[in-house]
Amino acid sequence: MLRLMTEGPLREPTFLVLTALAETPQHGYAVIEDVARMTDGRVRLRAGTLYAALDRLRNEGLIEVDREEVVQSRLRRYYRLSGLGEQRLAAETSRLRQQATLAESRLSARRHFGGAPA
Amino acid sequence: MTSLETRYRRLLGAYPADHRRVYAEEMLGVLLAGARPGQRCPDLGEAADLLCSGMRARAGRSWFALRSSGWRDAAAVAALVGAALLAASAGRRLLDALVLSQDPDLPAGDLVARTAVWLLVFFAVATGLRRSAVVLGVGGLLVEAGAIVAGMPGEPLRPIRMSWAPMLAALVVTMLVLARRGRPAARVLGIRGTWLTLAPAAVALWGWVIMLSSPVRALVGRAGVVQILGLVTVRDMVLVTAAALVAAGLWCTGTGVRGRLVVLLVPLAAVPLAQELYEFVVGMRYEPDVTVGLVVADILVVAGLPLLAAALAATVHHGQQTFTISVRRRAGR
Repeated sequence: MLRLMTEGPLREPTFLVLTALAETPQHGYAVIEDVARMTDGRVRLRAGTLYAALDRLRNEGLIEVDREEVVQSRLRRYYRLSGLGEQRLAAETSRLRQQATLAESRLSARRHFGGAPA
Repeated sequence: MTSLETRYRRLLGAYPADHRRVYAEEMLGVLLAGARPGQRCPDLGEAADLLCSGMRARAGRSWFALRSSGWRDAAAVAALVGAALLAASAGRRLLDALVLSQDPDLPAGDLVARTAVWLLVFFAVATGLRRSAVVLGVGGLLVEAGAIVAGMPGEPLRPIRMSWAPMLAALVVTMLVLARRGRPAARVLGIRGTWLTLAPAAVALWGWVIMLSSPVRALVGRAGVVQILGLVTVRDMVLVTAAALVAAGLWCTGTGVRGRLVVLLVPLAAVPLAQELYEFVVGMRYEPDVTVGLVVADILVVAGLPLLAAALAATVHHGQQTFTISVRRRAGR
């Protein structure tokens, strides 16, 4: 866990891909749709970016192939979060939460002491 | 197959073959699922993303392959050899300047700095102080560049005569960076390999002492070259013995490292050869005027030839490995 905490922060697409796979295994196109939905359309992953992230995450052991299907004669591979991926996502979520809490407390102090612009 | 699918397939050609084998069909499915009805050409953004990701995957795989343990181990030993070459080159000239020259004002400051820094790099690599070795190596590169600049006022041809030294230093630094996470060179070589690789230093020193002894020097003065049984000069004999010991030592690195080590040693050996070739071509003996063109051509030759030699050696090594794997697969069937 200490190693996971000391690793660098995840990039946003990587974080969102891991989040998309946290609940249930999904195939590539479903991940793209889910990420767009989670971010209200702000982040729309392209196939090249998605598969670069999936390849790297598989090599790092953070995700695994859940199953493969052939739909309309095309391969569809479902990915799921691994145990290591779950720990990594939890560590990153905790780090982001700490930062958000810190930013919130600084902003509320600023408002409390009248530091906000008129 | 629709024209859109054909175009996406072409774009997926930007990826390395092993990536395509795993993901191409799946990616194609995703790309076609995201296409608009009746779309015939890929979006510009999608196409750029595929090309960039493909190129990045290619570059990443090359760098990843280079960072594999075999290459790192080979880089540690090659850096050791490179540092030894640089230390020996400056050290020999320093010893000559201190012992043979009668001039007490001989400027040997740069030789002291160059010898010292490369000896430190050598010991840092040999003992596994990898980060220190990188820092010292960068220091050595700066010392080599500084030595050229410092000597330029009295010797205008110095940047050309000495360009091999910073080039060799830059190659050593590259190998030190590559070897940063590998095993220490001494462990890669093993005990026997380490002793065999270190032995040439003793042989070279012994040869140098022989050449200094007064009877030999008197003979050199009379005959020009000292020969053993009239067959081979002492200098050549020392060089051949030292080279044989180094080769025997490097052989101890094992099969996973040996081929890669040869690939990395090729550019190191090619640097002095490129220098010799360039000096011969431009007629350095006749001390030509130093022009910008002469310096640029020197950099291109001294940097380009070793890199070309390394690329050729890497291609041969890759071809040999592919052949071996294919033979093993066939034998396994």
